Amino acid sequence: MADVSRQSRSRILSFTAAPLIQNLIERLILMIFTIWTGLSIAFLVTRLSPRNPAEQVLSRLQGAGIFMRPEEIEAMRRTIMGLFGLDKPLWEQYFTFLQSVFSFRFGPSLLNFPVSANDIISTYMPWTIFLMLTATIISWIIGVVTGIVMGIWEHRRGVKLLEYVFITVFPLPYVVLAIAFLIIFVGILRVYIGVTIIPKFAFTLETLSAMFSRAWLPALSIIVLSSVNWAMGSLALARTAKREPHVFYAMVRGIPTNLLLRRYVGKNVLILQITALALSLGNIFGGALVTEYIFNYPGLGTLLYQSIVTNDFNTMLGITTYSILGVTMASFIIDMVYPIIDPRVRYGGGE
Amino acid sequence: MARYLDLKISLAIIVALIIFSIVIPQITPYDPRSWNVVPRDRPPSLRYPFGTTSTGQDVLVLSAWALRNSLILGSIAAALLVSIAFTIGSIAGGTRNTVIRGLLTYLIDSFCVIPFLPILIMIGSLWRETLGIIGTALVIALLGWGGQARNVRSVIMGLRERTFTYTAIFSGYGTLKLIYRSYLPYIVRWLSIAFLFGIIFCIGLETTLSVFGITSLENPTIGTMIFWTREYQAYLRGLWWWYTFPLVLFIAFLVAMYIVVRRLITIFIEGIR
Repeated sequence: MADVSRQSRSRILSFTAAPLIQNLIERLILMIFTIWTGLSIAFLVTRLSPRNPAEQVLSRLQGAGIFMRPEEIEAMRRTIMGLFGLDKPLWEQYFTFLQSVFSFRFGPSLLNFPVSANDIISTYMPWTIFLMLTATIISWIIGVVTGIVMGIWEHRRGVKLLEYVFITVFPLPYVVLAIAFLIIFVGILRVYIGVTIIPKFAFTLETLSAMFSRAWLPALSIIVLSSVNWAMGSLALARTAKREPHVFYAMVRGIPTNLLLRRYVGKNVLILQITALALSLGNIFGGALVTEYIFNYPGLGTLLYQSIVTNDFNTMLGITTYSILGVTMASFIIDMVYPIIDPRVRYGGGE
Repeated sequence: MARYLDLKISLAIIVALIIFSIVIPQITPYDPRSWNVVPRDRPPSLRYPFGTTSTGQDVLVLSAWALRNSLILGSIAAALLVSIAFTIGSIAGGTRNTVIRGLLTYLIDSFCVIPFLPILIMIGSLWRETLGIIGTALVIALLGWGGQARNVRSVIMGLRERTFTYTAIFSGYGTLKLIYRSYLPYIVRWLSIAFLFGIIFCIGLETTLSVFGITSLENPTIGTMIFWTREYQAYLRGLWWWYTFPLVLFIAFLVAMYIVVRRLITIFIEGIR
């Protein structure tokens, strides 16, 4: 008797656990391959560049008025090439790069030679995370709540009007909006948008207030556009949710709007939007290139832009690595956690 | 009659803007790209209804030309992007060969995670002079198809599981007839929407790149116009006409396009029901 029950239990266990583990392994392998491909493409693009960073360091040294004989210049060039690892064949450079991804050590930065790329990235990272994290979360909350509420009362005149406002904002490229913000706040209202020096990050009131005074305007510009994005998405989801038979039945039965809002429509929208939030949180490590460039905000995006135009390979690949890791990890975690949040989804596309 | 009023107005705006962008450069006696052909920094007047720029260009002519270029670039890029996305996405979604499906899905996923904008900026900053409008469109399409391909893949996979597929198969449709009679009308409509949306996306992307100053700056697009207003500090010098008029035209075009896309989607959904 006991034997039978154990047998059946083990069978049940193997039934429920196997797809999970199989799916986990499949996803993990796929994730590693995707990261590898992304990194390789990024690496390839940097090496396709006809510009040589070593020459740039050299010319900067010479520009500073240091006199060197031709042999010395040649020796110097070789040393610098060695420092950047550019004297080795391409495949060896590639393996060094892959190694550096594992150890998160990306070698010296060219832009701020001889400081290492890591040090610079870690100086700028908190600024980017502060800006992106607050902007993403605030816009998500505003957008999703607005979208759900609009979905419930979709036939009110005010809601229709609001939707048209959103339709006007939605297709605009972010750049245009950011520039409009700059024109309005800096050009017309003459608002002071803060200091450009970046103190080493610490959890002190001073640093945080410096960050805030620098970040509020760019954050506001992100919040405006992306809450509209979230709201449009949530509105569409809320409309779909309202068409589901059980929600329709509840509406016909005349349950209180408040309950309809929270339990029937809200929940359905939230499930999908929480995953979307997690995906966009994965994006924050790449920095907000456009925002930071337009508002001259000292974050990873600005650093990335500078490293691109000055050919600072190491810094560029460092930031790119963080951004690829962020995006893929977020989508991996989502894939794994999603079936727990939403019981309608099964691992491995099961029945 | 008022049923698709917003659609009609939007279509009228789009047609008007296209005509505007073609006709104005035609009737201008000089090359719209040339600098210092009119007095500088003039506010809007009868002679120059949109004013003139610090580079000595008529804003009316310049914005028409810029809009034309942006439209050409956006359409080419969107057409390429949608065709790449459709080819790869439909094979990935439609094939029964698991190896090919796995490989293509993995390719699509990789193109979804590569940091798109930094790589575009890098390519732009390296080959700005040689790229030109066609080249920029090509690069945008080659790097940006990932998201759309993922959509196509799920659309095709969804079609395969739909009841009408089974109905068609059981009624004796062959594979070719099934694709031609049942899938194509669905996919063509879907693709046209993807194409229109792609135009909005690609124009936006080109504008972003141009604001960074990494596209060919000699042949103006809306983005390069914004770039020059930044270079010449038009915001602080009060030259409002230089950026307001092109931006208004640009925003009008994008919003009209977007309304058309939204309407088409609803008409399309009603059509299926």
